[in-house]
Amino acid sequence: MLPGKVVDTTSATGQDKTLQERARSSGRGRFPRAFRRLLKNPSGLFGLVSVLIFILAGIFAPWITPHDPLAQSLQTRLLPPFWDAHGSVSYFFGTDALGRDILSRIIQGSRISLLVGFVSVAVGSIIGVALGLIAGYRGGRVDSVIMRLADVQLSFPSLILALAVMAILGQGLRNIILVLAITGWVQYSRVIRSRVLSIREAEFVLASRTIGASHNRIMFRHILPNVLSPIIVIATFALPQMILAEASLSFLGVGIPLPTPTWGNMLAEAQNYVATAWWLSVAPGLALMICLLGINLLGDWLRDSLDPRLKNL
Amino acid sequence: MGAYVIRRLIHTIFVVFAALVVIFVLVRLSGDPAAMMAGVDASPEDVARLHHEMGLDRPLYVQFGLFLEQAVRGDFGNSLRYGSSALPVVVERLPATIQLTVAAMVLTIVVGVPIGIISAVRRGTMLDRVTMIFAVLGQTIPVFWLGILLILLFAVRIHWFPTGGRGGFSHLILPAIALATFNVARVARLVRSEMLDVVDQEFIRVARSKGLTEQVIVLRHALRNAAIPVITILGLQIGHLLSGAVITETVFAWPGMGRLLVQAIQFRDFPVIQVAVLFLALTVAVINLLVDLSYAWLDPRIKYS
Repeated sequence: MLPGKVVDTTSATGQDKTLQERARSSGRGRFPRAFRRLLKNPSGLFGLVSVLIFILAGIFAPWITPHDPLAQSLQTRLLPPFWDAHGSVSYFFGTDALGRDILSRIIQGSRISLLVGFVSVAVGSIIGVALGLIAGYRGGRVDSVIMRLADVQLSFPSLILALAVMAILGQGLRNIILVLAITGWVQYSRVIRSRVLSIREAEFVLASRTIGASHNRIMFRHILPNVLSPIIVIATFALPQMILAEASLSFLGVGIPLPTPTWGNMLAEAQNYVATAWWLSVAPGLALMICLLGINLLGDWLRDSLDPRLKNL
Repeated sequence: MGAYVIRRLIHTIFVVFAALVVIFVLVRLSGDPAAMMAGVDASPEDVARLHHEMGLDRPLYVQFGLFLEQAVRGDFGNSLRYGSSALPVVVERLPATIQLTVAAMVLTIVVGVPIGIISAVRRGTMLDRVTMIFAVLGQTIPVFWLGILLILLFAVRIHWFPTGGRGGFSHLILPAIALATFNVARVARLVRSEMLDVVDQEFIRVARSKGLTEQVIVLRHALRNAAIPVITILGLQIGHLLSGAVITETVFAWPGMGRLLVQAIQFRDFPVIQVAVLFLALTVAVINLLVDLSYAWLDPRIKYS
C-alpha cells in the first residue's frame, strides 16, 4: 500500500490524525532522541567528539596543517614543543630530526590512518557480508567451505599473516588496504551467517520465495537490510583494529613507506631519538591512542543502542 | 568426546596444511625462488641450474609435493642473511620468545585476575571505577607506543631498567609489562564481569547463608566457577601474545623469533620468513587445540557435538 493513500483515507478522524502525527514525530524524533541519549553518555560523547575531530582533521588536512608535513629544514631540527623554553609557538608539538613539523605530520597521519581504516573496513565488510549471506542462505557444502576457511583464518594470527603478505607484496597504501581487508572479513561472515540462518526461515523470506523472487534478490533485497545493525556494530569495532594494524605494520617498516607520514612510521623514526627528543614518541602515540579510544567508546555506545546481543564481540 | 578430539585434530592438521599452502603461494608470488637463492651476483646459467635442481621447471602440484616433503624434513633452504640452514636460525631464537611470552602470561594471571576479583568485590566503588578506566586504557594503548613510553620513563629518565636486549631478569621486566598490558586489562575486565554474574547465583547465596567467610565464598566458590571463560580467553590470547611479541621484541631489541621475522622481512630472507611464519602458525594451532581439549577437563558438563 502506498503511503500517500494512507494519508488520504485516514485523515478524516481525529484519532487517526493523532496517530499520523505521532508516526511523523517518531520519524523526526528518532535522531534527536538518539542524540539526547548520547549526550547523557559521557564516554560515548567523548568517542563521538574525538572521532569527529580526527575525521575533520583528516578531510581538511591539506588546508589546516600549519606547515608542509614533508618540508625539511636543518635550522628547525629537533625543536621541542612550544611550552619548552627552546620551543616555538609556530611548531606546537616541536619538530623531528629533519626539521619537519610534528603537528602537521600528525594531522596528515590521521588522513592516512583513517583512509586505510575506512577503506579496508569497507572492503572487508563487503567480502565478509557477501560470504556470510551466501553461507547462511545457501547452507550445505558452500556453507561448510566458507566457514572452514573462516576457522583456518581465525587460527592464524592476523598480524603474522599481514606481515607475511606485506613482505611479498611490498609496502604501499593499496597493498596495506588489500591485506587488512583480507584479514578482516571473517568476523562479518560468522555473525552474518548466524543471523541469516534464523532469518531465512522467516515468513517474509518464504513469501518472497513463493512469489518467485530470485535467490540474489532475496539475499540482498530482503535479508541484507535485516542484518544491517550487526554489520554497523562490527564495522565500528573493526575500524580501530584496522587503524592499529596499519600503525603496527608501518611501525615495523612494512606498511606505508616513508616519507609519507603515518602515526606508525613516525613512532618507528622516534625510537632512535627516545633519549634526546621525547616529544617525537609522545605526540603521535597520543594521537593514535585517543583515536582508537574514541572509536572504541563510540562503538560501545552504538552496540548498546543498536545490537546489545553483540556484547561478546 | 573421542570423535570431537579426532575432529579437532583433523582441523589442526588442516590449519597447518593451510599455513603451508599460504607460504608456498607467497614464496611463488615473490618472484623466482631460484634467483633469490642464487643471489644478485649469480650468472643466468647458475640461476637456470638452481631452477632445475629446485624442481621449479616442473608442474605446480609436483613443486608443492616437493615443498611438502622438504617442509616435513625441515629443509626450507639456507638463510640468505646468515648463510646457514634456515630452521636452526629460527629454532635458536625460540627460547627468547618463549621466555617473553611466558613472562607476559604469568604477569597476566598474577596481576589481571586479582584486579578483576577486587573490582567485582568492590563493585561500584571509586576503586572499581578507576581500575576499569585503566583496564579500558590498557586495552586501547598500542603495544609499541607503550613499549617506547616504558623505555622513555624507566630506562632513559630514571635508569631502573635497561633500554633493551636480553640478559638478566631486569631485561625481561619492561618487555613483559608492555606485552602483558593488553591481556592484563582484558582478563581483569573478564574476571570482573564473570564474578559479577556468578555472585548472583543461588549456590553463592547458599554458601553465604551457611555462614562462610567472604574470602572463602570469593576464592573457593565464585572464582572457581568464573575460571572457565577466563582460561579460554587466556589460551586464545596466545596468538595475540605471539603477534604482540613480534612488535615488543622489535621495540626492546629482544632477540626472539618475532624480531628475527621482522629483520628477515627487511632483508627479504624468504627461507627464514617461511620457517618463522610456519612455527608461529603451528604454535597457535597446537595451543588452540589444547585449549579446546582442556574444556572437558575443566567442565565435564560441556557436551561435544
